[in-house]
Amino acid sequence: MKPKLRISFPAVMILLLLQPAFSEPSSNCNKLVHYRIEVALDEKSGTLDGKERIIWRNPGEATDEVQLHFYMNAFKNNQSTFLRETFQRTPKGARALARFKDGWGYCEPKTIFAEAPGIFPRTDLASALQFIAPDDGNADDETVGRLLLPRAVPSGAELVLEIEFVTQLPRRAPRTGRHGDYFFAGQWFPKIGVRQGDRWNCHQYHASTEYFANYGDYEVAVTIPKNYQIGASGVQVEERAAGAERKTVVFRGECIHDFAWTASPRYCTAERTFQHPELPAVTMRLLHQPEHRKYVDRYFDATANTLKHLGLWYLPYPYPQITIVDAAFRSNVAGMEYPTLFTTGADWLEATGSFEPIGLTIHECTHQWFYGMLGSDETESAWLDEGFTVYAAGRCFLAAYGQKRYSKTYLSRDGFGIPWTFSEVLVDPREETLQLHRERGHRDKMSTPSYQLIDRAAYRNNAYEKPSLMLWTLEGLLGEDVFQRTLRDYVREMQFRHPTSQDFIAAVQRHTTQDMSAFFEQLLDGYGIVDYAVVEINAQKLPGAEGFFGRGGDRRHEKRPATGEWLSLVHVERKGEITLPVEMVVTFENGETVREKWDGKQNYRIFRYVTKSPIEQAQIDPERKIWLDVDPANNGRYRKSDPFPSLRWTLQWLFWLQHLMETAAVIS
Amino acid sequence: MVGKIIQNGWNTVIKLRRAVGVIYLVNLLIAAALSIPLFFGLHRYLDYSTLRSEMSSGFSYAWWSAFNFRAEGLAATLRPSLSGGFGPIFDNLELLISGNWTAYGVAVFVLGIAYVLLAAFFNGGFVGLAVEERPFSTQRFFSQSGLYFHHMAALAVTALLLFLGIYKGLYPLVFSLVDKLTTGSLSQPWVWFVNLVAYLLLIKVIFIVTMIFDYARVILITDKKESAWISIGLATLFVFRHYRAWLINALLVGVGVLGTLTAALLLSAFRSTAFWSLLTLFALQQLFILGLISLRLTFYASQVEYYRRQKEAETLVRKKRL
Repeated sequence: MKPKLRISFPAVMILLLLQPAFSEPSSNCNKLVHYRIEVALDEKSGTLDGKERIIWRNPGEATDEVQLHFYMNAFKNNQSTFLRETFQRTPKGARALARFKDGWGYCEPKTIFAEAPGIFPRTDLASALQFIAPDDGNADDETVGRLLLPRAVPSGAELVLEIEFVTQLPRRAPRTGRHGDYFFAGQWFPKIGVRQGDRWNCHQYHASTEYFANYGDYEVAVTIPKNYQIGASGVQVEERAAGAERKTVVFRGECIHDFAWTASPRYCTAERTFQHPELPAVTMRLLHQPEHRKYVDRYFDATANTLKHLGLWYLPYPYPQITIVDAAFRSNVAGMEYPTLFTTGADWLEATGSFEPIGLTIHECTHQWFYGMLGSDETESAWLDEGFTVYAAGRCFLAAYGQKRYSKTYLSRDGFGIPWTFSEVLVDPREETLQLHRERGHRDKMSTPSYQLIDRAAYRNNAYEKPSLMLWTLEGLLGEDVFQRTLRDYVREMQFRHPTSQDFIAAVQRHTTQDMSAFFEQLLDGYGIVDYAVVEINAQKLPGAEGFFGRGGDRRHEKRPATGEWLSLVHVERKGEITLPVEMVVTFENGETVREKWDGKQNYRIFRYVTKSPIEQAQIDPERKIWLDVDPANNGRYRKSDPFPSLRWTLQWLFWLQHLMETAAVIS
Repeated sequence: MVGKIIQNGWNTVIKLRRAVGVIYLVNLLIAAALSIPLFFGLHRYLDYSTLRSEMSSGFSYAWWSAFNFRAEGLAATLRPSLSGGFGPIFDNLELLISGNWTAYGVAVFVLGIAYVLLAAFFNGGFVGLAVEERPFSTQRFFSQSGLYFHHMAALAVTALLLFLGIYKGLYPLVFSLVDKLTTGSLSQPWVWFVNLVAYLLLIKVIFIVTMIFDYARVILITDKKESAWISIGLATLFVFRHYRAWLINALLVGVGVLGTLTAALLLSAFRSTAFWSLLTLFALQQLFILGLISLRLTFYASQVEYYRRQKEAETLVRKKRL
């Protein structure tokens, strides 16, 4: 059955047309696009019947074509670039593909009209649409469409597109789709690409990378069954009946660069207001699953902490509302950011003392800054949103909750597991990031366009781990105050813009007199890792002087008594390829300390000390400024060993092994 | 009657306590021998490190993750979940229930199989002494172990193959059914409970299989059977005809669960930050292992006692009929 629009289209259009296409930009928002969309959900088939009117202003050079994203076509068949890459890049790719067998998704335009006021009249361009594959030439990929225009649209001129489309939501696709009566609509409408100078930045949908779009205003009217709860980007401005069984809910989002919505009859909703004396109030709207009632306080608490800390550190959250979506079980959409809306999720069962679902909530909420307010290009420079988010979310987590406790889920399988928290094992979130970076630190480099990174591990390393550790290292090297000031200025300067790596480097350079070019060159364009180590320390008592002293007639053999002084040696080594200035603290047995600075450029260096007391220990990077150092365990060394910790853990391990053998004996 | 049987089983274990001691010592010596390389590996990497103080009083995730990256073989099995009292025990129970015996590497897997065969060797000795109701002597214990080893080994190998079948055949079957049943569910609690039921069923299967093999061992030695296979068949018949056999095992499993939880709680509460406290913790851990071995042998001794009683009762009935 073909879905039908059930809203009163003319009424909505009249209402919406009363407002100017480009309303006054809030603060420095450079709005280039205005979307008016009406869409109706057919909950039985999972199709969306939509109509959109796009007003776009060309910020670049004149163009006789427009490029559009049709990202839902990534799930149209198994030959799309997204699914080919998913299949190729993950060992379980075949299983991932199999899931789509009965749940493909697509976005298909039915009619396309274009008009450029004063340049060309309203023209039917449905037949002018071509699907192109600018990244990999895949003829089967239909995620980017090119629309040839009758005449070129000059720089600064407006283009109006009216598109009727039908979108089939895929079943349990990544970040979008349907699962039973649960619907999450992300990347669901034809969206215009980004015009930069003389090129269109409009990449295909890739397995690893995410999105990039223009800032603008969205007015979206969604028609859904009456008993459904709905959440969306922006704020709800109207709700009205659309027949006996349906309702139309209208949302408006200003200065955002994407629009997502979700609907389900199972959602429970809750609302609280975030308030802080130095920050604007924000309505926090939560849509949660009924079985997650116990997490409501934590969802709000984590979101409020993010709004507070990131608001105070960098920039107040500028929108009136934030929508928190607790995704349905197995919907595959938990952990994704959209402007003014993010998805998070939790396991139904939690262990005592766990931080479920705080970590994920803070991470996704942090994306409201590094993705939402700073519209960096997630397809070309994913590190500018993911790396900054891992860093800032980790900082927020530490400020609000301190260290996590290690947890493990026993008998874990899809939908099941018995979680257990080890309260005695504290985990700094940075250690978890470092653990991953250690394993894949050499894979590719940060400056490689994200969609071209060689594999998933390289993507994770260069988008998430390495950049976040780089930011922590920068904070250590420049000092917390200077770096926070740097970040604040960078965020404020780039708000509602599309920052690049160079914008960030320039912001750093403005706040320090040190030349940071070598730092960024090595980290962005290099494949190396950082590892400094104290490889050996020793001390020996200096013997008394002995031999001939003096010259000529004064020369005589002497044996002077020992002065009681010690010669201590510290051998430090650079094991990684990246060179950074490092500090070292040497402590002697009498408590005296010496602080050393080393440019860290040579492969190794030996420090020598003649002192009254022998050396006790040497510690490289004593304040742990260099979070990129992959092996913190070799950063410090005592001269004398203490077998207690080894004995302690050997005995604990021995106990485990004894018990393991007795467990195996059950089979005998 | 069940209580009396278990009590008698326990009395047999007390009587044969030196056999318990031998099995415990073997367990300890094997684990200790394998611990030596770990100790020296840790000594090199930890005892000079400035992070050692954190590992003396707790667990340094920073140190461990760096160590683990370079660790190979058994050293790579040192992990955060080994801390406290519950972690090591839960980790092992997970192996038994999930069947993922290679989770900690091939070395641990091979060790597990080798220990199963070693335990089979001692099982013959212990059950042999329990059946004969004679006092312990080292010579008799080892000669009984040797005498029955080929049968015990056959039983152990059969059990291993059967468990392999359960893990690789029954598990996927059960869980594919679970997945089919829950595939469209939007409610995790429902899926969770269905999985739990599946696991409980599988635990029940493990319980039954081990009980059958326990009685096969007892029947083989008590009735001087020449075939391990026939003993398995007889044990299956016996187990399904005598509900008390289930009760005995269930009660002893209950004791084991309670004892393990108590021990885990006690071990978790203990902080070993100095040498004397480390020794005390070690002593407590060893007491727990000794208790586990004693419990396993109490199973066997109680099963011997129950089987003998049932046999006597059935002989009596047969005589009366005649």
